[in-house]
Amino acid sequence: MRARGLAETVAERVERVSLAPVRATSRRYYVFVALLLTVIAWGAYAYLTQLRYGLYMTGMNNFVNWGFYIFNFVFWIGVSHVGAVISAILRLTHAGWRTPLTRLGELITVASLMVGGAMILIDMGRPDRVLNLLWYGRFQSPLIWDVIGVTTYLTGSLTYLYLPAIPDFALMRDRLGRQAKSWRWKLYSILAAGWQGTAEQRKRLHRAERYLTLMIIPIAVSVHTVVSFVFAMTLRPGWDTTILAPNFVIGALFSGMSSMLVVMWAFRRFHHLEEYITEKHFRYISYLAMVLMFAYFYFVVVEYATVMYKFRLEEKELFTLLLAGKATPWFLTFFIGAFVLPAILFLNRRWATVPRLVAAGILVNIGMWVKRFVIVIPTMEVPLMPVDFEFATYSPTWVEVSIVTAGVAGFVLLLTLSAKLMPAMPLSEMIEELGEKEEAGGKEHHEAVGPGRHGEVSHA
Amino acid sequence: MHRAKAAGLACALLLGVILMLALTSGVVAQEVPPAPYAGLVNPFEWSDAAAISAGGLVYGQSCAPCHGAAGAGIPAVNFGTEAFATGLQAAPDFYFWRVSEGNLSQGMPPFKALLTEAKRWQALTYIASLGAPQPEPEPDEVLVLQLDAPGRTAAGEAVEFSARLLDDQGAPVAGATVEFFLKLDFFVNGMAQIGEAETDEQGVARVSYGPRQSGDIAVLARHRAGGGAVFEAAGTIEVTDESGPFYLPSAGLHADLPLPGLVFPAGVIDAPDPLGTAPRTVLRIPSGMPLLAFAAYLSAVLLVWSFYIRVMYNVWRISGGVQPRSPGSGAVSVNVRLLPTFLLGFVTVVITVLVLILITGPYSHPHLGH
Repeated sequence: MRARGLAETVAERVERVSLAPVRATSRRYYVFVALLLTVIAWGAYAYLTQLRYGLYMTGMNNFVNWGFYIFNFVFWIGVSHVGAVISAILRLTHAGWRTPLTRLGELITVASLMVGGAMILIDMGRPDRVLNLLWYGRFQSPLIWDVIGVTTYLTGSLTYLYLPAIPDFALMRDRLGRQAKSWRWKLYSILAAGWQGTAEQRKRLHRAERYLTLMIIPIAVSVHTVVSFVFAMTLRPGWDTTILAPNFVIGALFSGMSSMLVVMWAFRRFHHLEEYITEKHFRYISYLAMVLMFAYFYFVVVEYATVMYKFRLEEKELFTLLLAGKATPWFLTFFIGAFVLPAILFLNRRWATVPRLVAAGILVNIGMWVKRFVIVIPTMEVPLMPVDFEFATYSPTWVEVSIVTAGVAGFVLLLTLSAKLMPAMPLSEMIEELGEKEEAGGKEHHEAVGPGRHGEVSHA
Repeated sequence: MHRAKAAGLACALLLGVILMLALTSGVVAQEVPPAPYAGLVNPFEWSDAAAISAGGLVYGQSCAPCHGAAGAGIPAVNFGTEAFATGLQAAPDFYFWRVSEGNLSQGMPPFKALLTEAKRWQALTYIASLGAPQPEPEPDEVLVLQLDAPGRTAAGEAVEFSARLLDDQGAPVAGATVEFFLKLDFFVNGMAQIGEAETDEQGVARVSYGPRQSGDIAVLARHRAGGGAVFEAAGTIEVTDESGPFYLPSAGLHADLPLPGLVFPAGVIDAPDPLGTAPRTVLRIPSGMPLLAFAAYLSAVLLVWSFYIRVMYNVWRISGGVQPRSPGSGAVSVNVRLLPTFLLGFVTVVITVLVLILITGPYSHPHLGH
């Protein structure tokens, strides 16, 4: 790998640090995965119970027929928007600082889209009826728009995860596949798709990435827009508002940024990436999160103010429920968790950076999760009959709580397992950039290992 | 001098003649109605009671707001006078023309689009009866007034209030004036007169009115006998308030667009929804497919996925060329095109499935729509 006696180059160090988790697995890792698998297994048992006894096992009823599963779906699809921002928008603006974070952003996107999609399937008491979407899908249906949108976004995000990873897979093929017959060599050879770093290959890769960068931003916006249309196209007071689409998109970007803070911290800590994911990265992501927080606050205020100014009858009942009724604790949790406390944490720069920003990220995620609850369930509890109906009630059962927790565990598991498959940072890009910096800094010119020279470096 | 005086005299004479002609033409008040109104006569008899009572309903709805319940609302044309009734019966075509075409310079709107010919003639018949000499006042006797108000209506919809006037033997009293009142609560608070009608041979007086306020509203009918005695009957009507206070807009767009079915579904899009008043989405297909809406959506999906196919094609091209050298001595080769081929195939299959979902949907096919 390196000539004996010479100090490690910057490029070599980033490679060593990034590939260390792929090379070796600690006991702690196995324990953690076992824990996640236990939670998921319990969730699977809960789902089997639901399959056997029907949706009776959940808390959903005639009035509130969208519960935990649906608002978790919305939450996860919201979290998935981080990829579009980090990878696409920041790439378009040539924000070089974002390079270490792009892979994490795409991983979050892919994992959350998969968990979100699973939530919808779990919500169906008769999952075989999903085939009806294929046979009888109508283009007028917001649910079909949802299906097409999420499928498109998932495909795009998987591709966007894969494309910049091709040079990394090639690197790993050459580094880790010592034996021709080793499964690692075979696996990474297939994944690397014959990458040799030639000029033509690089040209094609950049072209493909450019196409995706352009496409992924409108796709991401349209995905959460059509998710909002599932609510906004109804006539239900509380949902029938034109502001729901931008509200959802901005809220999604906000949750995504905050999830990024948490995942960044986790990978930085457990993979020892402190040198590459620095405080600067946390601060920059927190600036984005702050801007999105103020934007989301604006949308929430505008939505509520325009309704509360004139208070139609059903909306009056909804807002009584939210602001002075049964759902008020949830609403306050959302407000304090998503706006008040994170604002204090974001703006108080005297405190230690990483702990306060990660705490803010966690709080925002909790607050935005509760906000999705507040959007879906109190609205359905408001009676629509002009009779003196009691408000419907909804409370989740153990089945729903287990499955939703398993969803969180599934998300974490997907991220954890991916750490064994690929480096958490876009290795080749970082080597290129750090190599350029090193050369620009006038240091002694080492044999910087670029993507085009894998085959030439002799294995020790 | 003598010639100037003569010229001046001639001018004055000419001026006088012109003035006189102008004045005399002004005296001839009525213009001749143009064809097709010229020469028309009332198809009903001027004393036709059915025509008079029907005309009373029309009058109450269309004419009374300006001309007043007794026809004295506009002093220049006071229907209540005998002179007017005589003039109306002498020149019915002129007045029919006035009612049909209006006289906008004087503020009279045209009613030919609003009322059928029969209704216009009935109204004129009623107007002529207004100027008829009043019947003799009834002797001071005990009368019974019964009010029949419909139980409920929706705001804005016209209903008919009817009141029956009977004498103490139970025989109907005809030709009596009954006033109808509604308790209004709109800038004024109190009983407001909504109409006035004369009882017919069955002793029934009818007034048509569309209440605007919602709620339980008190109705009153009153008859003042010639001797001063007042007979009243009261009732209530429940007026429900629908979506808006005064009118119910029909949902959807009214558009006569070229190439019907291209932009929006053919025809007017506000065909009533059999289930209720929920507005129907523009994207529905009652007959024929809204091509542009569907095409726009399909093109967006195809555009995005065409980019995916190009991306996968580029990845596939990346995998061409040099096979990786397998390390060590074993000559093992791996098909590096495996994953790119799979990805290209996967993307193609998915977009095919999505497009098929859209195209074969039950309401996407023109010949399936009905």
